[in-house]
Amino acid sequence: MRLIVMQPTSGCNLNCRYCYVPNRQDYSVMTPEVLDAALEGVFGSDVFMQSPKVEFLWHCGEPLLAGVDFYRRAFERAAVLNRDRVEIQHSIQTNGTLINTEWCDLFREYKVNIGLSIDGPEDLHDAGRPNWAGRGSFDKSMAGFHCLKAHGVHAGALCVITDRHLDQAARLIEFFVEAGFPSVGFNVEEIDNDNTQSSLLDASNTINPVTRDRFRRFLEALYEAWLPHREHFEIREFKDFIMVLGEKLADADYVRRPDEVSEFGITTIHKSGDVSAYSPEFAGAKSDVYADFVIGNVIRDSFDAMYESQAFCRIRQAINTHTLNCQRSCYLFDLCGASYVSNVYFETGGFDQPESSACQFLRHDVADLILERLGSPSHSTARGRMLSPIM
Amino acid sequence: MADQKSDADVEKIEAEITEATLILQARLKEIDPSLITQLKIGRASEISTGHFSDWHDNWRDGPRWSKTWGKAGGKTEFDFEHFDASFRGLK
Repeated sequence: MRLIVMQPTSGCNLNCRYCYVPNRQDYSVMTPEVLDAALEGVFGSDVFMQSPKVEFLWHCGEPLLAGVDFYRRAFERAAVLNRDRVEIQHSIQTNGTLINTEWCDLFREYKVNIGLSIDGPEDLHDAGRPNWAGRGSFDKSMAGFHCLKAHGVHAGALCVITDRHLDQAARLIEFFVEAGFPSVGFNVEEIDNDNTQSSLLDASNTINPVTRDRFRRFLEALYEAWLPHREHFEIREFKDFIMVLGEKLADADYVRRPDEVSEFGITTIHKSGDVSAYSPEFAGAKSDVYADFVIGNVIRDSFDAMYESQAFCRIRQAINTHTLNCQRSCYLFDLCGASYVSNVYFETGGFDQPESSACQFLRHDVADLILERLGSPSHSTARGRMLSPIM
Repeated sequence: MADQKSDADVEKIEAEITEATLILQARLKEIDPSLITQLKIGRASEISTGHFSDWHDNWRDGPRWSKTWGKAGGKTEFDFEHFDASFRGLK
């Protein structure tokens, strides 16, 4: 499986308070020349064609600003160029405000996976996701969601947790369930690329103990509120951890390998044709050491050549160092695999520190909650007891 | 001399990794064995629909579990509903 993150435009019709994407008022769109070179490069490269499946995630500012015709052409070109007949999956992460019947017809025709960015009830959503005039986007995003539902297109919700959310766990669950979302993934407001502050962190980019405690109580409340709905509504962070835990219990050698730290697990193609590897959050970042995290350009370079490039090798070395640092210092490494590498870089300015705030919130705190819920009635009596064999 | 230093570094790293691994093992041992036995192979229909990226800024509805995640390669699936209800005393 390879993930290709396509960035057709950095422009966005919203000005989300925590967005990490640079140049969000540049509404230029990836040219047909760049698009064609990108697709020809992907389908002509051993780097990608050794995988039975390629997922194109159309992402960045608001990807639907590129227009229906852009995607229809892109999807058709991808199908034509797919000479090896690998499985293609298109996905779009959108704010939903532009979705109409025409979009839904396209999504259905090409079986496009839709992720909808929505931050919960109207007050919470609008506080973080206004348009450039400062007005909330909740009504338009939900209109998009209802349009999707009416056309039989399912969408998972992606919700960014800010300081405002921490006392609202029950309301969040109630909202997503009543609205009819089948699932939600929670991201924490993070320092990444163009976003240099987080309501969950203090001025030195560290977590205040009070905030950490509030976050833990938020998770507990979220879990309790979700339990009655668990058969029909998924929370990604809980399910992810339990699934990975199951893998580990079944096989002591199991080690999670996230796409973001795997070689060409994720490849990001910018609007300009520049290419970044590993975490897509690196795309557009400035760095003398890592050549702005650009390893080549689809107009002039093949992906196989990018794989051999000095820029890629330098970033790969940094990622591998980060991964080893995680393995040396964090007991959750086997269950995490050094995720959130971009957060570490943008919070600390390098790859030497193993842990980011996202690690603490979404790995350690989630692990503590789930492991506690899995625990024996008395940990003292369970401590030291061997695990039962797994079937 | 350089080799000796290198060997010492490797030993230090291995010791740190071992220490971290032991902490995880200790925490896993705190899991109620009666809950562990409810981990089982199942829900194959979800896996068969294929893998979707685990990047956190990409979220779709529906199955997204991979046969290629880690060394274990999806040998086990988890009966989440049964597990959850059981440890909550609901079943």
